[in-house]
Amino acid sequence: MKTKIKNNLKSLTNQEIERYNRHILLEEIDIHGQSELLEKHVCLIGLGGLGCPIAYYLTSSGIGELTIIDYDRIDTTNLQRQILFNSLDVNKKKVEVAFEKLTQLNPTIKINKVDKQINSHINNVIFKNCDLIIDATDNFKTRTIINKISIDNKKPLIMGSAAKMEGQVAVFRNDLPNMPCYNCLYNDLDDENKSCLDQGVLSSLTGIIGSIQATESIKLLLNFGETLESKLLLIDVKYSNYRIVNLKQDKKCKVCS
Amino acid sequence: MKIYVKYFASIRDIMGTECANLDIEESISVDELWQGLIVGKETPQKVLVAVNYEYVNMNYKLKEGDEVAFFPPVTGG
Repeated sequence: MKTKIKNNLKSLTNQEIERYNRHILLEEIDIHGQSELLEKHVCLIGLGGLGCPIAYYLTSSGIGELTIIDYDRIDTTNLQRQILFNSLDVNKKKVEVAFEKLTQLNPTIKINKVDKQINSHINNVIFKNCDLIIDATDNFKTRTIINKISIDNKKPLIMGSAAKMEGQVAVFRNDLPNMPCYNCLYNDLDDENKSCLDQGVLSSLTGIIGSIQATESIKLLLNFGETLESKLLLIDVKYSNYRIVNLKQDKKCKVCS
Repeated sequence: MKIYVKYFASIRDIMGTECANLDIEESISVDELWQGLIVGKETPQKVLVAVNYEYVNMNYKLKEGDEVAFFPPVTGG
């Protein structure tokens, strides 16, 4: 038996109503919002410390289609924070293991795996039909490419980053005109800026940042509450300091202006 | 003129304090302020700044009563 939903959205099955019960009980989501979520497609780039919790929450939340993109293999040093993977997964491809575990978590959604490294030549077709791009990568160079992809494809971008005991989250509305983009914020960094390859990161910090990215995704997709749109959230877990900074488009930005 | 300066995350570690009330010359830029503040400290590769909770570039000219927050870039994940 299926429950009818307004606005020609897909009907939910009784199984889906049971699975997503705690979402449906929220007035901000309701049965209509859950049905909308099941129609959404998110591209998640990076299956590291941030990507793992994001993938878990988006899969369990019932995002209808999730495309996971990563080229890397699982390393023992990943296991401290990359919670999709365990000791038996070392040396396996991240997308393969993630696909298997996420499918077990929620076999009712569609998961696409893309075993590719992000570079400026990556095929934009991957992103053409998605509603949202999430940047869960670990270096400035890749992040600037993702920002460009997001602008070229007019898709919103949810960026998260974490290193040591500090992290940042921002929502860039690259689907809308005259909005700040990632390069308005970071326009002159270079690859000397270290990723977690060569500096430490607190395991639970990546969970915090990834969980906020997943939360912002659901809010943005269903248009409720207030997102971190054109805002940068600064998180400093060492000293328990949190702050939101407003961002404006840089009229001299070489990428979006 | 009086301003209030706040340091976030690893910038706080470098500066050895969370915040400072400063009396500075009129119309100096954030960059000039920063260059003065980091004398004798380990210089971070890059610092970002927000004045009164708005992200600004280092050329921003400070005004009486500004709250200046310095924070590090974070690109890892």
